[in-house]
Amino acid sequence: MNQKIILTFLIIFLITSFSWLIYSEKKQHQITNQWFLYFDNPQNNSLNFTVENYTNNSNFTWQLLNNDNSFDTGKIKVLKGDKKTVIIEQRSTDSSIIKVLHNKENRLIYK
Amino acid sequence: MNFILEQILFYFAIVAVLFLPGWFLLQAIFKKNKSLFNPIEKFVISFGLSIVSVDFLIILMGRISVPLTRWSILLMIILFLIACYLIVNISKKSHLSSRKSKILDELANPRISIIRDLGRIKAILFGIPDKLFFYRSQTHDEKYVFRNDSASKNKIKNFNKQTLLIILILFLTIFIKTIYLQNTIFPTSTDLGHHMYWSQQISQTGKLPTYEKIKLKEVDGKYQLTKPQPISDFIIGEHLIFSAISLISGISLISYLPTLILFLINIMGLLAMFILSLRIFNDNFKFSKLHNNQIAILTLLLLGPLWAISSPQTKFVSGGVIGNLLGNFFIPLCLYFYFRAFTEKNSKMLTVALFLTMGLFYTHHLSGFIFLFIATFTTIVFITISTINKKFIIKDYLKIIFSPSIFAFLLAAFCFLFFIYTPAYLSNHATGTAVGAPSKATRAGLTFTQFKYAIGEPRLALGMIGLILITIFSFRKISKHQLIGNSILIGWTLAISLMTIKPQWLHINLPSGRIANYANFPFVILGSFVFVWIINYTKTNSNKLFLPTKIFVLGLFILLISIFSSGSYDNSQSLVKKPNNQKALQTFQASRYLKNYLQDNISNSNIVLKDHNYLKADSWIKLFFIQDYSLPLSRSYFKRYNDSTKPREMCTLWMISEPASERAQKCYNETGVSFIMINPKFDNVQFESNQEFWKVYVGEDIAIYYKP
Repeated sequence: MNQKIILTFLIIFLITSFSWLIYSEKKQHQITNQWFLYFDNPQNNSLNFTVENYTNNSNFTWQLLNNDNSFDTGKIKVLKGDKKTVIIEQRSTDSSIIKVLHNKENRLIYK
Repeated sequence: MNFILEQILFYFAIVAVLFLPGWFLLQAIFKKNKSLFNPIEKFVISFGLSIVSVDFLIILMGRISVPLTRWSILLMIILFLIACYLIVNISKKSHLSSRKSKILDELANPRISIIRDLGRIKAILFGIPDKLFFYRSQTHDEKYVFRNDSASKNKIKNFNKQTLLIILILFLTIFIKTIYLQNTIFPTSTDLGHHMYWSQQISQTGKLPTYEKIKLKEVDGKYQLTKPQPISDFIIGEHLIFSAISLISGISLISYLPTLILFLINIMGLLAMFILSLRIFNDNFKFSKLHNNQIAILTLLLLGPLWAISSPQTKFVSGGVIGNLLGNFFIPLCLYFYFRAFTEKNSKMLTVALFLTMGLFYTHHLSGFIFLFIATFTTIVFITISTINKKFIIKDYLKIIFSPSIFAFLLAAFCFLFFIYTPAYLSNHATGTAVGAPSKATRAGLTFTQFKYAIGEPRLALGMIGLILITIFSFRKISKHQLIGNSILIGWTLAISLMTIKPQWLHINLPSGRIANYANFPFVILGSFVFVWIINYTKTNSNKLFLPTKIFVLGLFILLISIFSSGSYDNSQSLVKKPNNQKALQTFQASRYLKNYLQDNISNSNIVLKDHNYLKADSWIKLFFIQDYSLPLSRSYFKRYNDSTKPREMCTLWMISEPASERAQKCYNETGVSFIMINPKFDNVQFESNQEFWKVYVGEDIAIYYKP
């Protein structure tokens, strides 16, 4: 058997396979149809929060609900692959809930 | 990083770490005799020698406090290559005179000089390169043969058929494994995540890892996190090459990188079996005119495209079972060198065999332990057969065993083991746990049916017939070459079979299923041997058969079909659907969030607890923190908390399953856990209803709660 030819083909097959697998894996690293909501600082009473968007819809509506029934509301536009921080002047005292509506889905975080 | 640049760096790192050091070392050791190894052997051996050399060199660097960075590792490799190159060149000069005399001898041979002269005359007359007029012989028996020589023409035809067949087998093997891996290449496997923690630690700290972890224990009625305690589950050789390649290429370990390296190791394991079977059956059974090539090709077929996915093949690649894959590569490679050392009485081969064996013990304790049994059984079989055949002459082998190179190596190995680095399982005296009566049902041995499914029915059946046949042949008139080869095959098969089916006979206390993952290799070689033997016996003894030849041929054809269908069916059962890695990506996003916050706020009261049951790729979370192997703490599988043979702490269960309970509150207060990562689709209710917890991060399949 011609071992050099066998080795040459083996290397070609391996490189082709690896290149395909690398390409597949990179594609799988793309976050799709997801969005995340979180406080900038999870430990103190700051209510600043961030919306991270990986969906095609960039419109988000947020509400701040306090224990004393006071509330605040707003709309933000977060492009796909981007994130936006909303600064809330008020500090959490007793309990505060941030509710975000996006694509008919509600998510909330609270302190 | 740019896709093309990343690939170039990746291949550069692979060549620099996994091929060049071994290649140069091979040249340095066997400088005189380049014809000792054919191209595929050089390729496979370079890979094995590279892994072991790089491991030992990095350990040495770490021990002398050289930071392990991209440039230090590259520099170390370059220095090593230069050293090997110098050794080769120094010896070249001293052997020039012997080479000259060899050339003169060759020229003195009238036949060879006539062939060369005629070829050169033709080249001069017709202005065509002389190389076209003669071929290099593949067997090295003759350097040149006539192009028009009919015998060589047939040989060339056969070589071409075999070459094409091997290329086809390799293509199918790589193709089938790629199809499976494209859906499993994304890093989610638990085992791989555990291993890559250590590789990431090496890359990040630039130091050798200390294999230890903190534990959650109840001491005097109080729950606490202990200081780091040594662990024996991990061995340094499983992690160094991944760190080296990641550092040199700049590619993250949380990517395709570890899986592709394991894929390469898997393919090399198949090639190691190929070269082993080529050598073992070389010059074997001349009376039956068996061809070692046929057996080796069939071995490649039975290990490659057939049963290509199920354990211990591609599933172990995506599953990150690093030790087993490296073991399945090093065991046949070590046997290859031991075989050549004793058949060719070559002390350098024995030195390399010992070097690789040492590398095996620095890579995976279970593989090393199994190899010890294989070596013991092989020795016993060899002594038994040679004593019965009255062939055993000990002084033949004493010369190579008690040679200067062996002594030098053993001294160096002793110094390395005791003064430079001792594997964790030896320094922690963990070997004692592997010996003794089986302590659990899973260690009491597999049933024959389980063993059959582990290997594959046709492979086991053929292998058993091959074992019987080769044992019978061993007690006939055979050469020493065949005696050693047969002893290896018989010893290997018996050792693994007994360790798997009857571990209590050998006083072994290890999971039998894990040992079974090493069993298919020897059965495949024996099965290939018996299949080729039957074909050749049918061809050469057609007039002696009790049935017409056509019946035998039909029977073999049916057998081949059943092998193909069984192996292909196994592949089809193992293929997975297209993956949805969005859950794993969410885990990584949440981990990044916590890591970015906590890197400036690390304290004993900011311990993270995560769930293993419902979070995808959760074992990779610790790669983001690199605090301790046990951090973040983990709520394990529910059944493990009910395992009476292995009692464990219950805090991690209570803190997620019932966070409002008194015992959970005690755990929170005493352990310092304040962040909890869970899947809100399964574990939301108990936290939402509890006012003590803040919900600070939320995605579709992950949420983080904080307990102030």
